[in-house]
Amino acid sequence: MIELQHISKSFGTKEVLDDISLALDSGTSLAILGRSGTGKSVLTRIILGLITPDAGRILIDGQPMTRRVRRAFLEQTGVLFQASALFDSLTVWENVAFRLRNGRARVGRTEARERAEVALGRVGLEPRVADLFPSDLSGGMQKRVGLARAIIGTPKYLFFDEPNSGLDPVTSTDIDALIRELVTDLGATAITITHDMASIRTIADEVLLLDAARARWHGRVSDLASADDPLLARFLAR
Amino acid sequence: MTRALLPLTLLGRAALGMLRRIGSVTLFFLNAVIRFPATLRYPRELARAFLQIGWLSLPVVGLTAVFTGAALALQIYAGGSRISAEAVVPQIVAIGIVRELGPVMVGLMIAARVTSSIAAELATMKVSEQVDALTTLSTDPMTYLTAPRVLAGLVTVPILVGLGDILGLFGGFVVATQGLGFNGPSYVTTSWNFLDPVDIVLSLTKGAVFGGIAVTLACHAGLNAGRGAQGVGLATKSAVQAAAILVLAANVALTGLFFGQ
Repeated sequence: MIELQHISKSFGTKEVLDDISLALDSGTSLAILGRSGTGKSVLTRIILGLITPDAGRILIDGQPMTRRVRRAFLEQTGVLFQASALFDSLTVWENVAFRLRNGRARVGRTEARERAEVALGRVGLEPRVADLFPSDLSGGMQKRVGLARAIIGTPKYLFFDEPNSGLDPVTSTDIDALIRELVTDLGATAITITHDMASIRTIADEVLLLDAARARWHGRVSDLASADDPLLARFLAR
Repeated sequence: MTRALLPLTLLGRAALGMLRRIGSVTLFFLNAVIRFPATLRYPRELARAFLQIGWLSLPVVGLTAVFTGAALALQIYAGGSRISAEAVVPQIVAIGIVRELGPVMVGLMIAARVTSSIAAELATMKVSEQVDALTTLSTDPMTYLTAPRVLAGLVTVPILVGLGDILGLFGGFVVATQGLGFNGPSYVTTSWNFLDPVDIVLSLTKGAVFGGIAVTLACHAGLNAGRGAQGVGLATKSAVQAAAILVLAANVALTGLFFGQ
């Protein structure tokens, strides 16, 4: 379970997050929705420990986020970054198997490659791409490689930062379906940043709408249609 | 009153900013040094850093040293002939290359070639979230990216300086013996006898310091780059500028330390 209590963050005089609280049950898939610059990425980066909040605290399975808890949390976490963030100097399989090859419990090269190819297969990529470099791949394929890297350690938590950005509608739909399938198969707790309502309906159980640094609406996807919120209505109308 | 104090205020602000940056880079360097043992976990990154900083710098460093030594021999001969002191070419070339020009030219070449490439590479990794990706993959960017490069800078640049010294002396030797009428064996003996072991120690020490400066500034600028292509450009420019200036300043300080009265 991921719990945020009264999280606030400002950059200079700009208040990005103001008193955000949230409890996300294990196995739940949450979509964070909001206009550009409303703090969606900052919120997820705070949960991942990439940014320190000015106020508030985070609890993972009831434990405050200390350095030790954070280390254990990251070892069970997979992240798909907006631009995939694949390492240019490594091949596809080395990117996917990075955690296995460089993590605390190291895996041999042969086993790491085999497991990377299995992960690539799960995201619909053939083993022949394993020896290519990220620059040899299309944007959609890079997203799939990023997904394979995120799921390789059978993570308990998954984060997806705008998984459909820069993709055509068909690839976008495929990626959504893949994310839903992987989250369900792994039983992971997932947080996805997206602007896309179609995507939310496919991959999310719950929605958090951020606006003007505050949590404006939080509820289940099934309650979206009956929600009485003008901003949410504008997103739904798209 | 306030307007009169404005220059002082600006000067104070600039001084504080510079001190803050020096403190930040020093802490960054120490953070890299304490991670040297841990960086052995990444032999591939370590090998890549040694290759990038050491081996691949060899052609540019070697050519620079040869041409500098050759030009120095010509200048010393031309200048010496004004006071009938042409015979001092081997001694002055030896001391000039080993104490000063060898390490400084290598330091500046490293600042140009290595600092720019490392700063640009790490800044690109930073703006494309690859550094964040490392963190989320339970890998410390300081241990994985910075420590191998700083270690390689400290180890390989003195070696490059040593090779640069030899090639610089060789450049001077070729010009002196082929164009200025010096006797080969006599030139080598005179040069060698004139050099003191402390000259060589100073030269290699300068190499280690210049390597540490160039690589640390590159990593610091890269990992603290701002957003977008402009952030990459600014990080690279500021790292190269700072490295070149600090290499020259450190050169004066080290020369003063070894030979100051």
